[in-house]
Amino acid sequence: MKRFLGIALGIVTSIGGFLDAGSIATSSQAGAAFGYSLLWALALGTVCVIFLVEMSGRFAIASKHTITDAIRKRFGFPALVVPFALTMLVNLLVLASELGGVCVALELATGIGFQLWAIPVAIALWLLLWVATFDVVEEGTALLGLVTLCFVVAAWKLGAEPAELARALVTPSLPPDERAHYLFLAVSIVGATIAPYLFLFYSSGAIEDRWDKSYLTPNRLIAAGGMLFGALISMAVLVVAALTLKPEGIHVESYEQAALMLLPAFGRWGFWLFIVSLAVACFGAALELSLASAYAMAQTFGWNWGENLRPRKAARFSMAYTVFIALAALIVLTGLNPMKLTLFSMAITAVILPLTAMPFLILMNDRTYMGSHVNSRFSNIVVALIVLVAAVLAIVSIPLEIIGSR
Amino acid sequence: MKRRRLIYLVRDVLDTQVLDRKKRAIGKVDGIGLELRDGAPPRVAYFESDAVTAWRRFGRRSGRWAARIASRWRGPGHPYRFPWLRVRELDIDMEIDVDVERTPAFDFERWLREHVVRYLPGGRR
Repeated sequence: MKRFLGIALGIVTSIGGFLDAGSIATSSQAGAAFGYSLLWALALGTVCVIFLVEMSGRFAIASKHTITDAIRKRFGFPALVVPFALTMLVNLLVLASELGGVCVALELATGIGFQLWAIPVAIALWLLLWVATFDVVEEGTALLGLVTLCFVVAAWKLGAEPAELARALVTPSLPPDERAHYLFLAVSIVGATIAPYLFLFYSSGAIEDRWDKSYLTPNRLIAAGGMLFGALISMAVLVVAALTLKPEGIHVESYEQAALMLLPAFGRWGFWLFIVSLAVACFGAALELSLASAYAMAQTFGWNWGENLRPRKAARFSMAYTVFIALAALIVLTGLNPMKLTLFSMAITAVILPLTAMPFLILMNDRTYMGSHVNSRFSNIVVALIVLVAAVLAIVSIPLEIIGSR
Repeated sequence: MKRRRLIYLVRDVLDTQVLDRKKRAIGKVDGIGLELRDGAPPRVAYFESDAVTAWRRFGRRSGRWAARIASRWRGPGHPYRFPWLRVRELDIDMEIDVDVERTPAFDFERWLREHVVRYLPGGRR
């Protein structure tokens, strides 16, 4: 029974990490611009992230180490500096996107400009990490994250057609015009779905919760169930945007426009549901992202780390997320359009994905760490293929998007 | 007969996580020092766990930068060298027989604790 509860909790927790500014921004824009036709990108990303999350849990269970820790040892410090710096930079941009999402939600609720919220939101985020334990952070975001189920309810109320959805999920397509923007969105969706911080966070979490070999099966269920659950909500966002914003010809360029999407399903309440969902999803992701980045710093340099330790006992670790949050708040303060920032951060995530995923795949096949739990050839191929295709598409489509948006 | 396990210095020792006798994280093995002896083969004398050593491996310039920045909190005795004889266990992690709080490897941690964390709310607990 306890194990069952653990699995259920794990699945719910994953939503907190899954649905974030990236998913809401990319899905709502994709639905509004291209209807259901980009659902395949979401499906592709979800398959890949299920594999990656399962692997990172299995890695932690089999080796008692986190991925970052092992990457440092296997590839050595000099080889790691550039990929590490790039990952941290992208994490910073994504964190700024999440903070921006919370700030925009507050702007929509109060009418006070989002930049003014940057510092209060950053302080709230920091304070929570500073005083709370790992479980509070994990379970709190999970429970609050359930509010995002309102998108699924909306999709159902609006009468989304299952047959049509299923077809769009499995058939990649290319529209006759706006191809560059279409590809850019496809890449951003994949980047938003396979966020590297997600599986780095997951493996550190498995270590913090002291998972042993008896967790191999729960790990598999949590990875698949949690990611599918998260994907269902992202999908619902896309579907609702396709059913409500596209017919009105609304091209989503800011969260203000996306906020209209729940009105047809819930009336005036729809507006507030959107705001709360946006704030909660982004705040939850910001918590996990700040922690994931501090974990990565600590594990790369060998510091003592752990969200369950008091800041005094892990000064370097605690200061790492402190500085990180401060920098992200500065980016929000510059007043960049948070939605544009989010889309670009997601596309760049797809570009650097091979830098984190490929070394990780190599480790998953290393018997000194994994013993008999190494990867099957099938999962190696699935992940390598998706990651490389996404990266190539990203490198092609980002310049096109920049030229196109002028 | 006992099977001998071969250890490669660069593959298995360099960049390994170092723990102290209470399993607290000290840092990584950032450098390994060999001792040259007259008429005898060189032997492993110590390893260094020091970010500046790691940055030197990346490049000359980054090493100089790291040393300049680190001089703010470093006390004497850097880069700190752990005698090889202190190594107790070497597996995926390496355990050594010291108390990390008493070594200069914790200078940065201590400096942050005393100069920053202490002044933040809840930082003294």
